[in-house]
Amino acid sequence: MSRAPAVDRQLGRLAWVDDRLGRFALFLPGLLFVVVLVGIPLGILLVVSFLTDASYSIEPIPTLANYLGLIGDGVFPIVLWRTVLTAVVVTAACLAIGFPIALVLARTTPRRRALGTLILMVPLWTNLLVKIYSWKAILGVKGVLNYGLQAAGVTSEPVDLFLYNTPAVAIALVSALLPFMVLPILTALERVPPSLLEAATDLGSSPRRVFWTVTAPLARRGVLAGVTFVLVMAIGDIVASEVLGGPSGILVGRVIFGQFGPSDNWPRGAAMGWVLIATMTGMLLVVARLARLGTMERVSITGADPRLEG
Amino acid sequence: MTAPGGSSTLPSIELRGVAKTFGDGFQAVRGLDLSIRSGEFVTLLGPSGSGKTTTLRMIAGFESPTRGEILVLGQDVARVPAHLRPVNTVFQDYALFPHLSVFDNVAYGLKAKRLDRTSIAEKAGAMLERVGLAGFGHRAPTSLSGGQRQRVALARALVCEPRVLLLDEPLGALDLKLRKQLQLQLVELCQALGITFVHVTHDQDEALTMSDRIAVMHDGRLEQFAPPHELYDRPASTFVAGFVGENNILRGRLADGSVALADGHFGLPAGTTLRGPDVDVAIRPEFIRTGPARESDAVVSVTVEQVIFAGSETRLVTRLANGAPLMAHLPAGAAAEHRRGEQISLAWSVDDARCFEAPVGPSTSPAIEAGESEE
Repeated sequence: MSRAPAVDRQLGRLAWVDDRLGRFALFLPGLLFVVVLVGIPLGILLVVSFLTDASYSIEPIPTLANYLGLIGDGVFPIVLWRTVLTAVVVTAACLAIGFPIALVLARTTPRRRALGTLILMVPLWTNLLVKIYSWKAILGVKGVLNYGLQAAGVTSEPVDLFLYNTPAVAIALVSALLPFMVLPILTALERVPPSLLEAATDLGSSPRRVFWTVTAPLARRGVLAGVTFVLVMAIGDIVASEVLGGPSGILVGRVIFGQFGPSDNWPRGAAMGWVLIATMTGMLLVVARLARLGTMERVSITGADPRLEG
Repeated sequence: MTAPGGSSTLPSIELRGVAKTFGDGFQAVRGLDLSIRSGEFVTLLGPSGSGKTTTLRMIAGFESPTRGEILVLGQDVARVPAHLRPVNTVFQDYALFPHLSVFDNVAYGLKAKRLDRTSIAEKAGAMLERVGLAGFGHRAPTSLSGGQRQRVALARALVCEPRVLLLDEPLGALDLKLRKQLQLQLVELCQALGITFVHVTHDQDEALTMSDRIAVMHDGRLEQFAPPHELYDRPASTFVAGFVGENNILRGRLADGSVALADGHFGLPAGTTLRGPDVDVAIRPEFIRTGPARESDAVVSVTVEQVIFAGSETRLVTRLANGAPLMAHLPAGAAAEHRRGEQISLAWSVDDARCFEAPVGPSTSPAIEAGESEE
């Protein structure tokens, strides 16, 4: 005896509902985590950013003064601009250094790839603060770099140019964030079948053209992921700027930190935070747009062709 | 198959003593001499690991030979990188670019040659039409069926107008019906375009139906290079006899100009000169008869193990007294009266059999099944 089709359909629908519920149930803990620990604090921050600061306390009077004050302030826009610029330079440097590393690792033997990946991962097990401080030992007046320069006879006395400025912050950030660029690109490159590269070569592409027409486009998602990671983490930096930046290398993260700490002006700090979030979102949208540009271009080439294909 | 259409007397591809040993010491190809005429459809046939794909990859330029010379159109290509060789390849897994449309896949090689947009659109469009995919240009390769992808791969290679097309098991992943259809299309294309086709397969049926000549490879060496009918009728070695078509391979001993099998002696086929003492006798199942034998025939007595009805013929699976299997294909009806376990006599004309020096060492001759199997 088989069940009537209608019953089967009913059961099928129930199973479908059940399946959806099941998936939602799996999704729920993660969703709760994000809402409670990210969404709510950000919401509070947003509310606070519109409240009035009354020397070391917050008055519940709505105001735009916190935001308007940032525009009038001569320092904040400069620091924000410096932060954006530093993050862009750090990201570009990570991409320029990281892509070749990923490429070499993707093409080498599995053994060497495993070893290379491990070497990349080890610094991630070390605390960021330790890594940043180690740059002090390299770039400082009594650091390795000065010692080397003197030993080589390039300089006669220690030089204090290397530390307490934006380049020092950028160098430290590049070294700390490089793995976040290499790993997603490596993952993307590993998925490119070698036969595609051979096919491109076979069809007359020089190694350079194989790279730009096959390897790079297929690594696009990895590059996008790496750029997003590095950009977000560089923009949000506090530690590198604090330890290596000095007065000229102050980045936004450090300024915001100051508002919640020593200055104790939460509404102003919250407004700064939201300006930074908005800036970062804008930059990520630009990145996404740039990544899509490549696709649009291809579509337009193809789009022009069907009428020619007859 | 028709005669090669090439008018040039220059060989299209010439291999001289080509050998390839990989870094791990594996000897894929051990000294290969091969001369392929212009416009010819040549198949490299052999089991996995016989060196056929490595040979193809050396012609394409993806591997470089450890020893020997490769000449394409008379030119030594040792120093010519893969992207500058006048050859194109159809890959086993098609290797279509997933980030490009079907049209852009086909146009890829033309863009590499820096043709202008109009000629690219014209040529790629015409080639897509030729392989029956007009109107598929805007589609993503991933949205196509296996057969369609294979034709895109073919169009992508042919649109570059190569002098030599290399095909690395291009039909391996397709179902039987589609494969038969594409086999014919490939042969037609080869004849129509006058391009030299070098095709790699382990499928002997495919090789026999498509090729002008077949190079049978085994353990990195060339066993025989001949047209299909010659390969079938006059195999040059035990290996070829066993690999191409169904065959019974019987180990015998040479004594006084005749071959001794498990029971009985019989003469060698006309024109055979062997040193012995161990020889392999290859006799195709369709040449074996029941019924009265002539004086000069080879006759063996066997035990019937199975009688298989197969429409136009009946297949007898039998065993000699020494345990060696012997398969006979008899005309329908001729074997109807035979029963399992019955002792019968089978005979064949000695000139239908082929005799070879037995390979040294343990018998490596493939059994009948090996000739039919896919891998």
